[in-house]
Amino acid sequence: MRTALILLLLIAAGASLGSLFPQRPINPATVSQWITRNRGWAPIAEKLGLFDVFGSWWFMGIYGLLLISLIGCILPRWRAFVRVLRARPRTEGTLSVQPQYRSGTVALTPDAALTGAERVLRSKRFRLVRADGTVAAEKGHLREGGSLLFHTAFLVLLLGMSIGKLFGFTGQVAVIEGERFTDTHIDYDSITEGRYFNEHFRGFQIVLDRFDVQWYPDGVPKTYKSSVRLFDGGKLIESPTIQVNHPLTYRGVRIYQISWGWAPVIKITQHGKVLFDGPTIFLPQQGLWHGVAKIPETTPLQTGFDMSFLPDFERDANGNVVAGSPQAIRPVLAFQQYVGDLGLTTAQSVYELDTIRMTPAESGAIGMGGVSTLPNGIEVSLTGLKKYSVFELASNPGAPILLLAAVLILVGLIPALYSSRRRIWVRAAPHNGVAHLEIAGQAMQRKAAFEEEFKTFVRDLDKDLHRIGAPDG
Amino acid sequence: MVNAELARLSDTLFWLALTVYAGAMLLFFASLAYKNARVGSVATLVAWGGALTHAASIATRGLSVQRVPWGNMFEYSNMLGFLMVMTYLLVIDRRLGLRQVGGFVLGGGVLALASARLVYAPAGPLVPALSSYWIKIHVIAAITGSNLFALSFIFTVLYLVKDRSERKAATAYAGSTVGAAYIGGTTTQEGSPSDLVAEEDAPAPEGSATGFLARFPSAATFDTLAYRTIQFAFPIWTFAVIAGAIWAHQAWGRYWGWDPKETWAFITWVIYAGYLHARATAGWRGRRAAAIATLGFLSVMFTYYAVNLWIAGLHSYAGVK
Repeated sequence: MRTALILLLLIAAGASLGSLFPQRPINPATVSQWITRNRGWAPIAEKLGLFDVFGSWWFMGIYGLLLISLIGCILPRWRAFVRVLRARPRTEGTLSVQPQYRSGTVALTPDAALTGAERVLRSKRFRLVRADGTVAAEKGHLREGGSLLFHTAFLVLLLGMSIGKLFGFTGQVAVIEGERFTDTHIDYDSITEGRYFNEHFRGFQIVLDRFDVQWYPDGVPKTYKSSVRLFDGGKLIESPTIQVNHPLTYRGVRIYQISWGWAPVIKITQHGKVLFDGPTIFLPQQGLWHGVAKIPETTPLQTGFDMSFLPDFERDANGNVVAGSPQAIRPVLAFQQYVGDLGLTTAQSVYELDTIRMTPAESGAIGMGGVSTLPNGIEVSLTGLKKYSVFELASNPGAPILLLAAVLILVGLIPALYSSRRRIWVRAAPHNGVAHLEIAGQAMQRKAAFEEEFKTFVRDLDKDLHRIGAPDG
Repeated sequence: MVNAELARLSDTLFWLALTVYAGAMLLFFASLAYKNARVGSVATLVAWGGALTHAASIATRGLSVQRVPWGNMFEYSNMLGFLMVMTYLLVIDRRLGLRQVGGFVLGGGVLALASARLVYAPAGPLVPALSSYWIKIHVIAAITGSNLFALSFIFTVLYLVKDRSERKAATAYAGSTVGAAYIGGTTTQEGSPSDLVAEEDAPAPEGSATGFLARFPSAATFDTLAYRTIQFAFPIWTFAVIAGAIWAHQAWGRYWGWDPKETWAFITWVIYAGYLHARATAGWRGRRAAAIATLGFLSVMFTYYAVNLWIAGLHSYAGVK
């Protein structure tokens, strides 16, 4: 199986590229950074699929070849294995040429000696056949059987992977404390659906009552905990908590705690008229929290705010702003106002401000409950602080099959590596009124261990026959 | 939360264990160089002392933080060194009687502990992502697998050294490299794939090596030992990867996502799968097999050090600031 060896090493080399180049499906932002840094190489890397190695044509190609080689290898082996299992142990011609050989006489009839040999071999769980004055025994088919199971398990693994990919889905959603999320396509922030998922959303609802985050004194996070209520068909089903490592499972969908963030409650008015009031999701960015507010209703020009949030505002000795503890001890909202055209007629991210047709105006910073008054009667205030929790929802109907494949891989691997196939023959011929015994053995693997096993067998047989003569060879 | 006194005691015991290991290593080498078995016995005793001290260090570390003592890179390397020394003492020394390799395994242990110290993290609690019973299963399997791969690499290197000296000696003896391959009997020998005792029992070729290498088992024995160790490690590594996938399914919402750690654990697995194929079906052994085994161990090292320290991913638990 040199082919398999080459393909295995090729797939290892290919996979290593996938960890050395940034991967679009894992982190698209790092891919963009890499492209800006390496303008010259980027088109080539792009063409070779280096930004999505595990989905590239050549990786799939090696994978496919490995699969073909696997099937091409195990099909004939299964056939041969079944044939061997059905066949009876082979009797040999000349026993004295075998690697292990002993002979001697025993004061029994040949028939009785062979019956004794059968008894001992059977107690050692050998498969055996007796014909023409010879007992032929065989053991260790677990090796080939285990190896076949191990290799076949990869086809099961592939099946499980495909079923998960085709019939499952994965979606992410950020929910602010006190708000509600419904399991429908439109409510997800991002979603990947399998080809045959067919919009099979369950339609249940999750209300995030509270998100708790606790830290150890040194700032290491201790717990992330979302307290939710789950509704289905308008009825309250349960009020569980969702934590890292403790997902909630409901109707085949698993709901995971993925991350969290701050959602400052911001109120923006112009001449006393409320134009914006509510918690706003801030994303973590280089140690700060970053968010935007877009207010198209302001006059004479539209207004946008580019904002940073610091849960614990501190200044170092040089007067620079530094982030203190991760807890909301002295929260401060800093903002930069932009005026002009928000460009809302084109699709854009709710987390980014498109300032191409805007000019920077005022900037400022407010604490909790603080108000900042800007020109044209605009007021910005920080009226409260909430958190949001990011959940991942996923269904993977292939999971049980994957688990089965994993079990088969391990169950098959152990005998495939440690078991060995070996044969023992015992022949008895009449010799001056007693039986002349020939005992021979052969192992395909682990020959040294078999030498011991053979010796033990001869000893046990000797004990069984009581008076087996001293070997004369 | 953290019992500072126990944590300090653990650190002291750690330094003590590291020093004792280094002493045992030197004693093992001295016993090799001066062909003195008694020094070897003393070295073994010293190594046991080091291992007990080390066990106490690990235990107090765990007690000081009330959790398993393998939650960051320092602790992982520390455990790795401990398992290497213990495997040497219990299996390589007591069962196989190969005291000659003691210095090399203890050297590996010293390296593991010294490298652990480079990524030292003070005793502290676990982040939420690690608070799962899977840390007991997945991480221990990974450490055990790494330990066995490290030992198999020591055997591989010793094989290569011994093989070279056997070839050289045979060249001098027979005056031809063709004869070398025959007399050395390691790489081109026909017959059974790998049988430890049989090959060990085979008389060493005459004048095959001089100096302390002469006191080593044959190259073929090391070749077989490397094979056996990898055979033993492979299912454990397979289990570690599977357990990791199950944990990922529980913590991250997917069982496999080509995270750098997952990718490199897979690469390591694939290389050793290739090694087993090469030996079992293509009949590779000796230097060609050693080349794959070396590649495999480089991949183990990369999976651990490079992925933890250089490549950002979900397995950022090194605790290195």
